[in-house]
Amino acid sequence: MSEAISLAEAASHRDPQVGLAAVAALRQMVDQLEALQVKAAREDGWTWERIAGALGITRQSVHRKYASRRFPGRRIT
Amino acid sequence: MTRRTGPGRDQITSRLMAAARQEADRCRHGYVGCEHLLLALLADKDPTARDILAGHKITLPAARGAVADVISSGRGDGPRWNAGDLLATLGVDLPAIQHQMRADYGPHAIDELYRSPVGRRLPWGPLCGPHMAPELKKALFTERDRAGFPSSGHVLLSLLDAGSSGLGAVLAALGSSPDRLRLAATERLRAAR
Repeated sequence: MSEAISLAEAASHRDPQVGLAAVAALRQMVDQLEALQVKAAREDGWTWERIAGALGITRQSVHRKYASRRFPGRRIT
Repeated sequence: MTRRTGPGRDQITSRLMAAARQEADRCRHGYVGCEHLLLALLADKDPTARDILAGHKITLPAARGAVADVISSGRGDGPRWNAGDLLATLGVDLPAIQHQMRADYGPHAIDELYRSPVGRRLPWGPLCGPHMAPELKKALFTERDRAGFPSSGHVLLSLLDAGSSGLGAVLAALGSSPDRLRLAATERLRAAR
């Protein structure tokens, strides 16, 4: 049985092992996409306030996630 | 004083990890495991491990076939399905996203992200390539001499001690076993002292 067929069957049976692994993969993908966009925004001179607004989260949340990483531009205070 | 950048970052470990990752990428296995490190040892320029394995009639082409069979039948160390297949069950087209990222930010955008402060703490996820299986981490980065591996034969010994069921299945398919190879590797390394 091919990998694709067995995966489709597992998904159609609502196998939690597949579902949870898929969610984990999705979460990692979103984290990477966010970091890519944040990096690009900082390189374009965006402020942390503007990035937080675009992500729909608070400035404090951005601070928690990225403050200890040395970005170009002004440090978050 | 030479500053180490992390555990297991000596020259031979880095070289073998890069080769193992290439083997996993080539077959789109979705993770890097002990199975791929075996292939890396067979292809490495240090002949120590390759000679030990050759003594058991284990060659690179045969091992590649056995690894492909074991992983495609769900007996490998890693997740049974790759990230692209998993995300497809949620209706997410990972190859299309990867294509778009490369088009927007350049072919090396993801590699550059992981060299930047932003990406340094991210989990190694679907956009970047395969994960490392815990058994492989154990083989390369724990319970080992801080000075690093002297030869590929020592890496092979550590690999055989990692308790990888995927590697066990590959070796069984090749007509061998971790115990038999461990004995041969120990004798060979003792004779080389």
